[in-house]
Amino acid sequence: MSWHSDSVEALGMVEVEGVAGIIAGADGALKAASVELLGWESIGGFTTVFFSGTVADVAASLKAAEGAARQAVDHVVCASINQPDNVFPRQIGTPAGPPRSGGIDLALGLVETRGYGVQVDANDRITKAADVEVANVLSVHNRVVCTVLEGEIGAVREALDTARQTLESYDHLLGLTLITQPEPAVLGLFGGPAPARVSGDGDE
Amino acid sequence: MSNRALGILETRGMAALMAAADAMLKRAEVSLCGRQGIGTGWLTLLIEGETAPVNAALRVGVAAARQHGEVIFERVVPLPEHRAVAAMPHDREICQRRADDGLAVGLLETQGVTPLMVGTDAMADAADVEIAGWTYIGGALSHVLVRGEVASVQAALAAGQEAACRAGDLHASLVLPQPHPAVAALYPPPPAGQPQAAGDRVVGALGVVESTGYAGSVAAVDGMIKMASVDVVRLAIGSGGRVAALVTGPLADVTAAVEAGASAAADAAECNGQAVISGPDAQTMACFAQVEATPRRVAPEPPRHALGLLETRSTIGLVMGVDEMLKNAEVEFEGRHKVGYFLTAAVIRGDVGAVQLALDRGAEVARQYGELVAAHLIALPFSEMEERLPHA
Repeated sequence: MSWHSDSVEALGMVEVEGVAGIIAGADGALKAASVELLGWESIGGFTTVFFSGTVADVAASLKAAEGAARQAVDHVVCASINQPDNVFPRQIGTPAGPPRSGGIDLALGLVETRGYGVQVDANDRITKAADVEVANVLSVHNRVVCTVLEGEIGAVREALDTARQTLESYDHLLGLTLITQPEPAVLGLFGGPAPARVSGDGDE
Repeated sequence: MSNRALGILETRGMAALMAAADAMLKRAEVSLCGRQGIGTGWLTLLIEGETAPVNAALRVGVAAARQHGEVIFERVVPLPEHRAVAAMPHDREICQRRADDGLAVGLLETQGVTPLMVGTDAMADAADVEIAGWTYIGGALSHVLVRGEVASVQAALAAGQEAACRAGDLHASLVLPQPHPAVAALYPPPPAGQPQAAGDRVVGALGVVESTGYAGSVAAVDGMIKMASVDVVRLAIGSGGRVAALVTGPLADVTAAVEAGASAAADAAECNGQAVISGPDAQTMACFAQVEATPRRVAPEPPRHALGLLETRSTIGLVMGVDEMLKNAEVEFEGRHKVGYFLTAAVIRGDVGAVQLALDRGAEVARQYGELVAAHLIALPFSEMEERLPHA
């Protein structure tokens, strides 16, 4: 896999447990400064998102990304490299796809749990209660599963309320995150339309 | 269609899930419609049918699962919303599989690959059973399936449990004398290799050293081939970050090699198990020791450069460590390996001094961002190892 980024001035990275934190972090990074989303990867429990730009832009975006990621998850590690040795941009990760624009009212809802069964149940209730689409279901092993919901802001809020009510009693809820006006690059990488089959049974 | 329902059952471990699937399918008019594993041994099975049968089936399924392991989650979803369920990534096709031959099945489930291999060989020795395959489901849980007449399967499982316990941790076991044909949806993939006919090349012994991470397994292979005259067979990923290094050779050589390999793995990272299987059954070899179809890679010509392995439980830690190594020492980045459960390793090459310098500096930096698992130097890698290992 290749990122085709041979002349990266600075590389920014955010690593979290689960996957909701890097989605929120990537969105925060792109909103804060002019950086390019490069891709993400999982090592079976932790995930990392990569972006590039000028030294100043990466520094600014990294700070915003850390703040956004911490809204979603506790464990967040950030780092940047100036003039990274170019093996890295060409070696790591699931590369970012084409960006996808959403409407002005579009929002993403992230429902992260331990367990797959609770996600099936929660998504059934969510889609019955709110006008949202299950855009993607990401499994990064170590039991963590994250559903990405798409819809208008009001509907996504309603969906997250339903998710909270459904999941609170199960003790499997890791986090609920609302992203308003998600960045096109984030929608392209983590949103729908087709559910991504990221996981296998063991592969960890 | 008006009162359709979806049943959800999530367990830890395959023995629990398979026992539940069999009980549910026999109890009521339901069918399997999905299966998903998410690591750490957590497995989900989805069933569908009319509401009353799904309720009845799930009740017996939960009870059966609890006898063989842990139930994580259970729920009946009445009138499931199609667009929610359709968007979920679980495997639907596997549920088309059936086994109508009426053979009994036995399942041996262990923590780690070492007890699984030892248990498998004991089962193949003890009774006339077919070793139908093995796989892993995360959290270092692995299982092997045997098939045959009921008495044979029972005898095999008894022997397998005892042997597995001697070699490591037994997680669970299960015998289904008359499995429902659709339980085949949960069977592991068949062995990669064909059992060799009697009189074919006889292997004196099969040795296994199981370690945590890629670096530990490379260290184990290095230690084994330098100690005795053994052939490197392969590295077998076992989930939970476990990697088993397998060698074959005469019993005395394999025994000496395994001791040295275990010690090398422990020095480099962490050794989680070791075993010597004397005169392994052809089925054991076909199941675990089958050499991949890919040809041996041609090792680079001597003089060989030293090999360096940096392994962390953090991508950022590894990236920062490698950046530090490449900027401060005359080394080349050769490849990268992820063996699961937070583990990620980088392979570098260079002169001994440069690789040592790089590893020292890389380890120091990596440690600032996450857990350092290994920073291991192999000053003189043998070509036997270079040809067999996946790094390129």
